[in-house]
Formats: sequence, structure tokens, C-alpha cells
Amino acid sequence: MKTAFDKEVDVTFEDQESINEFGKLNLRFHELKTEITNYTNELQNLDDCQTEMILFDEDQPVLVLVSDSFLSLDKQMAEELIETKIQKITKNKDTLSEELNKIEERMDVLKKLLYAKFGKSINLDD
Amino acid sequence: MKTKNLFFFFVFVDIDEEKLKDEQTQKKIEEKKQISKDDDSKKIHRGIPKALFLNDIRNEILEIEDAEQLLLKVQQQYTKYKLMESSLHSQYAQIKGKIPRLEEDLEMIYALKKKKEQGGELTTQFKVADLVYSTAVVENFDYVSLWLGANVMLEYPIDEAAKLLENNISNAKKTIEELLSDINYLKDQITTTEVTISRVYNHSVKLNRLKKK
Repeated sequence: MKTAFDKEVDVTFEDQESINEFGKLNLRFHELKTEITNYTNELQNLDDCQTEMILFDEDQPVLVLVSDSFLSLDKQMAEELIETKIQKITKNKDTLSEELNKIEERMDVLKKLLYAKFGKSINLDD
Repeated sequence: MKTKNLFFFFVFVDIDEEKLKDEQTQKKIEEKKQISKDDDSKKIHRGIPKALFLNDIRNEILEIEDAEQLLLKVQQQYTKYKLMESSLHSQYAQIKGKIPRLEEDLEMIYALKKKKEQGGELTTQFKVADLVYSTAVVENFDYVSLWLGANVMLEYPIDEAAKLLENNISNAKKTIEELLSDINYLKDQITTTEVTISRVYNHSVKLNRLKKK
């Protein structure tokens, strides 16, 4: 029985290292994706808060949930609190997105390298 | 943390390779076994043993029995690695889950400090039980009490409390870093073992065909 990929290719130590690196990056890649999605949802919620608060009266106190307690704050302070939170999350999200981009680039390089050598006998897509 | 497995399947069809069999290569196998034993005893990254990597499977394993034996050994090792992986991942998830909680606490302290600067008192609805809230008025912003665990709560000046929490967060992050480095190391060993399993298996199939020929 002959198939299209009957060339015998053995794995060298360097190949193994590339495969390992790809495995690690793949793991991190999926973790980063979930974290970024979480941050995006949080930002969306905070953005909705800001939009809703525009409609509030200036002198009406706002109840903001921090941890397990509602704090009754004046509108300006509540806005500041939310703004700080947005800035912090945006910063975290940007850092992660940057890491994700780098990982994607490196994974592409490794993918090309490994597919070139092993062809159909290796599967790097999920 | 999600684990995505990579799948490896090597297909070997060539069977016209000469079967070499002399004492020298037999010795090499013995040496290889010795090396893998030595590697097992080395303790780094929480004592996770380094995975066996075969440099040249074609010349190292010549007998089907050797291949089968090795396959069994590598598969056992793989099960052990998987066990370690799930234990490390649960530790990681546990510590990672604590960080948002600590950050929430810190956020509250910052809010109190801000309110202190602004002056006046703070009305708050605090949680009594799930879905039950009661109202309290906070007049003193100088001290907060931190739950230290083991049924102990300690009162801290607010700045000191903030410092303590910041410290806890950075410690948790450090532990996360260490755990990640161990997880990555273990991931390397798992991937190497996965590849070794498929290589040894395919090699044993090949040896089997040679034998029948």
C-alpha cells in the first residue's frame, strides 16, 4: 500500500523543540483569547454604565457596586470610579492583545516550518 | 486553563530498510535505557522528570519486543504527566481565581480613600446574606479591618491595608509566574512524550512487517 506521504521522516531534536514550542504557544494562545474576551465583556458593561449615567440628575446619588457592597456616591465620583476601571482594563487588554499578536506571528512561522517537513503526518490546527 | 492537544500521526510505509543487528547497536540501547533512568532521577521544576527523547529510533530500536516494552513504559510515563498536569492546572486556577477578589478589595479601599479626601460620610448598602442588604453609614475612613483567615480579623490604618493588599496581589502574581513556568516545562515533556508514543508505535508496526516478511 503506497500513499502520497510514504516518505519516511523522522523527528530530530530540533523538530521536537519546535513542536514543543508550538504546543506551549498554542496553550497560551487559547488562554489569552478567553482572557481578552472576558475583558471585552467587562468593558462593554462599563461602557453601558457610562451611557446610562448620562441620563441621571447631577445631584442624584448613584449606588455603585464595589465588591459586595453598594456605595452611595455622588455622580461625579461614580463616574471617576468607572473611568479609572475602564482605563485599567483597557491597559490590561492591550498588553494581552500585544502578546497574542506576537504569539500568532511565531505560531505561523513554526506552522510553516513543521508542515514543510512533516506534511500531512502532523496536524497543527484545532 | 484550556488544554488543546496536538495530534500526531506518522505513517510509515517504507519497509525495504536493511535490518541491522550487531552487538554495538544492542549496546546503544542499553546505554539509552541507562540515560533515561538517570534523567528520571534529576529534580527540577518540582521534580517533574524529563521526558525521554529518541534521537534515532531506526538504529536504536531493532527488536519488536524492545519497541513494545518501550511503548508501554512511555505510555505509563504519559499517564503520570497527565496527572501532574491536572494537579498543576487546578493550583493555577485556584490562585488565578483569587486575584480578582483581591483586586476588588483593593478597589473598595481606594474608593474609601477617595471618599475620605472628599469629606462627609458614606452611605452604603452592605451584604448581609445572599440577596439581603442592610444600610450603614460610614463615618470613619481611617481604619479598615482585613480578614486574615483562620478566624482572625485585624484592623489596619487604611494606607497600610492598601499596601498589604497590593503586596498580596503581587505575591499571587509571582506565584502564578512560577506555576506557569512549571506548566510550560510539563507541557514540553507531555508533547515530547506524545510524539515519542506515536513514533515508537509506528516503528513497532514497521518492525512487525519486517518480521513477517
